[in-house]
Amino acid sequence: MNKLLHKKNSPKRSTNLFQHERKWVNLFLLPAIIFILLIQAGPLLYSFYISFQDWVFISSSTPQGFIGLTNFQNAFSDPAFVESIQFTVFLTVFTVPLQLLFGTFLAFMASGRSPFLQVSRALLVLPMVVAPVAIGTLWRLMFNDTAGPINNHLLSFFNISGPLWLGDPFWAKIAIVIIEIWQWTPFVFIVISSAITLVSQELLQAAQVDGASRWQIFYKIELPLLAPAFFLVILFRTLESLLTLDSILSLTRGGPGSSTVNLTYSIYNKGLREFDLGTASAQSWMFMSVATVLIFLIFRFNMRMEKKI
Amino acid sequence: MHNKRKALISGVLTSALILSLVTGASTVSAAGKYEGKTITANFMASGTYDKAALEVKAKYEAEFGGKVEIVAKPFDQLVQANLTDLAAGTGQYDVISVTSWEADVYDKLLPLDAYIARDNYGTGAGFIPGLLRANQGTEYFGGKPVGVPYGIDGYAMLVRSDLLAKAGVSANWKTWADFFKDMDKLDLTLPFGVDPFVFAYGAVEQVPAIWLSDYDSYLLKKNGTYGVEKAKMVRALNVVKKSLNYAPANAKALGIDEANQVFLNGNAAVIMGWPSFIRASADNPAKSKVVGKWALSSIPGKGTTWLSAWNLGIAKTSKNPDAAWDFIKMYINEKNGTDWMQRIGIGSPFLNTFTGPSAAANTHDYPQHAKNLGNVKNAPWSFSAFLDVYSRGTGDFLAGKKTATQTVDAWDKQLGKKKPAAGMVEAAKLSGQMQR
Repeated sequence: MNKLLHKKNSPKRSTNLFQHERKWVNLFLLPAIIFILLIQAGPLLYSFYISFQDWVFISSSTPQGFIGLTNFQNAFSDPAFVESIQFTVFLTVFTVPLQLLFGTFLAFMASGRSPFLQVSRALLVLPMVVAPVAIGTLWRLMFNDTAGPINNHLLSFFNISGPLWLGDPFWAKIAIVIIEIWQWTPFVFIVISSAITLVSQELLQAAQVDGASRWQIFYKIELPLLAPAFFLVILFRTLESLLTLDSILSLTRGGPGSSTVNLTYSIYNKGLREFDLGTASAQSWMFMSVATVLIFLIFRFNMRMEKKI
Repeated sequence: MHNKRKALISGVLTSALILSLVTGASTVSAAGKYEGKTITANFMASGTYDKAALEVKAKYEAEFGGKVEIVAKPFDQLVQANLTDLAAGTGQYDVISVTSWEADVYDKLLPLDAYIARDNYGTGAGFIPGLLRANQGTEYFGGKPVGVPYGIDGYAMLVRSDLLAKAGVSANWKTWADFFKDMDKLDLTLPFGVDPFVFAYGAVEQVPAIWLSDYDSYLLKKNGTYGVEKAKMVRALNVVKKSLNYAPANAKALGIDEANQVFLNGNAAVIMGWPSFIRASADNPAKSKVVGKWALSSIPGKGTTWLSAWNLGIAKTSKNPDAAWDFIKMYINEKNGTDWMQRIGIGSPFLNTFTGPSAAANTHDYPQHAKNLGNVKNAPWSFSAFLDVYSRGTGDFLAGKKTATQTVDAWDKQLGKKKPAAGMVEAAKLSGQMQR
């Protein structure tokens, strides 16, 4: 009985202890909090300040004065920036759902304990661990319309004349989508595979005994139980997709023309090639605001789903 | 007699002692001139300029005692690093590989006129006449040179002499209209699988070379902002589009190496490109099917033949400008120029390369190359204006996203209010590229 009482009282005691020591705990945490604020909030606030300044770094090493919302107006009047938003949306809308679909499919196909499946799982993860620049170079060779294996072997086998992958604006976009799906489907695969192993086998067996079909088991049991993993994957992949830079830089460098310039690449150009730090900061803040709203919406959606489940 | 011999021996010994002391002293003075000092020099990681730099580094360190750190970066990164370093004044580099793309920060480079005059390093060094003119081989700011050229190349046509002779075509085109007429003629006689013309249309930063060659007007307006004469630029852009008709079907996807390979494989009768990227392979039977069948020509049009000029300059922030200057002199000289052009492929800025003994073995190439270099110019563009506006705009035009008129209007909208840096305006004025 005493033991039980002790167990029952212990959380309260520790809470009291914590409250008693709160002053000290806060004091000890303070340096870390200040450090994090300096490291994270400092540059963010500085870039917010710059976004209202006239500052082209190549002309002056200090900001040249407050210009109100001019940098924000400049961003929207720049057709290249508007086009880059369109391509960013295109990339996210096409890559994230397809990565989710393929990754989930592969995770179910490769779930199991046989040595063959274990080797398959290891191999499926490989694209994610290859250096992005190497991936760009590799796919550049693959997409070569005259000597590359995609047109020369794969498509010609089916008597299809392959497109100018990197010379045509539409196909260059598709090429980027293909690379992104190839490289990041393994991430979805890993997360969903891990989540699958946590689904209770007893629950699945009980459903089977009750006469549920494989599809019903997947749709009514597995899918709802995997929802938190899907949420995680959607969140990460959406953010990563918005921030895509390496595959574009190494494969198309934004071309042909400006067809594959996305928001990140556009901000990089503005800030680090044109050295227009004011406009680049304004664009970054607009980008960050939209991304934050998107994250908020994904969280809201997840909460609703959890309530439903 | 004994005394005479004694006097003779002591005289010889004294002379020997004095000679050895003088020689020894001068050796010590040269060897120790920059002892304990380190300079940093940057080059493009191309396997040519940086390779040559490593050769000079060893020689310099042995002769002067100081250390040289060679930093090699790909083109994009190099220009970006130079712009950032010079603009911020961080002083990472003493010797800087400068191109016209750094014109925004020419004012941060040390004027070299005093060094050049002191060492009679200008015309006395044997540079190709005209190459030391402002913005036409040598970078200038405030009327003074801020760089010395070491790697020079000018866009050119490389032609298959055998195929042109068969078609009765002479590679002496004054205008693009003449060129297209001959391409039509050539097309009728070419064997299957050989196209009349090839260019790296897939490397959009190269495509301005075509329209620049046809565009014979200003690139900066009177008020100092970017701008072009619309009708002439529209015409020049349409020349680019027309030239595509004579190129392989996949030309829009060809990068520089790929386009060069088309020519080297014998699949194109004419290539417009950088000779320094092609000549060494074209004359190598292991790499080319056109050995002994090609010759250099010039590009048509009344506009500008685009120049690639690598200069070495010294950052104003350098703590060892004298050591940096000695490195520059050791790197850029007649002997290296000729040797490297033949051995490594670097375009020599020295006249002797094209008139001396090495020229005799390259009559299909060197004389015309020297002639072409007398007529080359940079374009007064900042790195970003060039890459992100003109090149990308040309890419959109070639991809069919915009007409020629829309392209020029878009350029005007993007750059019309922007004023380039003082160095750029000065360069444009000096080379006649500013509206009068």
